[in-house]
Amino acid sequence: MPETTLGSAKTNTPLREWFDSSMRLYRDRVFGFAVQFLGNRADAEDVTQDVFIRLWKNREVVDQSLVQPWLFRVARNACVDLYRRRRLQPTAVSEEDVSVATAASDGPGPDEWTDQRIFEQHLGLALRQLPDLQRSIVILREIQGLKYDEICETLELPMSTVKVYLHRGRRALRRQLSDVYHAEFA
Amino acid sequence: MYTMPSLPDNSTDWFDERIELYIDAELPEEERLVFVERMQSDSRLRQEVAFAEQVSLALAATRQPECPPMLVRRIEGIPNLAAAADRERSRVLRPVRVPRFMRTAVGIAAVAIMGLVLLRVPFAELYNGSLGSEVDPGAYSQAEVDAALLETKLALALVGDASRYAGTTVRDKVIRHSVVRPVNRGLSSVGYSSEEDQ
Repeated sequence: MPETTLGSAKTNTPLREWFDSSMRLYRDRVFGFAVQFLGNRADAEDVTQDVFIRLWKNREVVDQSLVQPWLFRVARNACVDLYRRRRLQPTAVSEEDVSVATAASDGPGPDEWTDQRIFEQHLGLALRQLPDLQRSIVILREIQGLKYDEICETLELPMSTVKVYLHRGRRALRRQLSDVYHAEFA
Repeated sequence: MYTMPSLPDNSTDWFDERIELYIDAELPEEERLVFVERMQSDSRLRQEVAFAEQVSLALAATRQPECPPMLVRRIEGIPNLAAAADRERSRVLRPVRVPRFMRTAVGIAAVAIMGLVLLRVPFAELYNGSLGSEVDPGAYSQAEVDAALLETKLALALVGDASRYAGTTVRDKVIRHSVVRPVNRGLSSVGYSSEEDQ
């Protein structure tokens, strides 16, 4: 067993390697979560940087087997803090809003793509109108693809609570969107 | 055989939950078959399910934005920046705390030096054997007295500055009682008055 295992090494080198690998593995996901939560790339960049600064500061105390839930938890708290501090309001959908932009390669034709894109933009707006916790859970489950137990670990909530909030979040999304698309689905 | 209960129109929560379970493929098989059968006969439920599926697919198809290169560089540089900040912090000079007895000693030494300066004339008189003899007011000219006063004021200023730098409490009070008043008394005894007296 090498002396420089990631978990127990006291020297900085293995911790640096662990930090670098965690950063490579999770930076896009943390950034994605922040963009989807805040709907603003500049703020999401600040949050992402802040999350990894905290990871470096806490490198000796973070359980390295649980770094993903730790990162998402810190990112979520940072987003909520920023959101409340700045009293961010959901804004009109802009070209920069990538929170619900799908890959074009999988999309339909140009006309349908436009409709689809408008739908997705409305979806992003509706997502950011959800309460903090519902929004976090919907993003973690539906977009980030976390399992239920991973969400429980991240948010330190029991499974039943996560399911209830996910259900409420999904329902709220559908209702908000069905208001927009009332003519189509009524 | 599972049969879906007949529900009133306002039982949307119950349907919402079943719709989600159906989309997540978590509905028990028996219940799922009944749900599918119900969808075939209920166009509104069919639309609700289609809409929920569309929302779910749109969320699942959300593209994961990539970190901008500038942000990646910023994150990669965090350990180096932290190390540099630690080095800088260790270089900062800490203020030196002078022990209290040292400050007191400096103050006493300053007062002692001042005293010796002021006793310069008596020492000279003692050396000349004239100490205790009656002082003739006319032995000193006004210019000599003014020069002595100026010299005294400079000495007082030096003592004051030394005391302030040393941070001692021997400042105005000690100087006034130990130096200024005796000097004034001495001057008045020979018929001269200082500016303060005037």
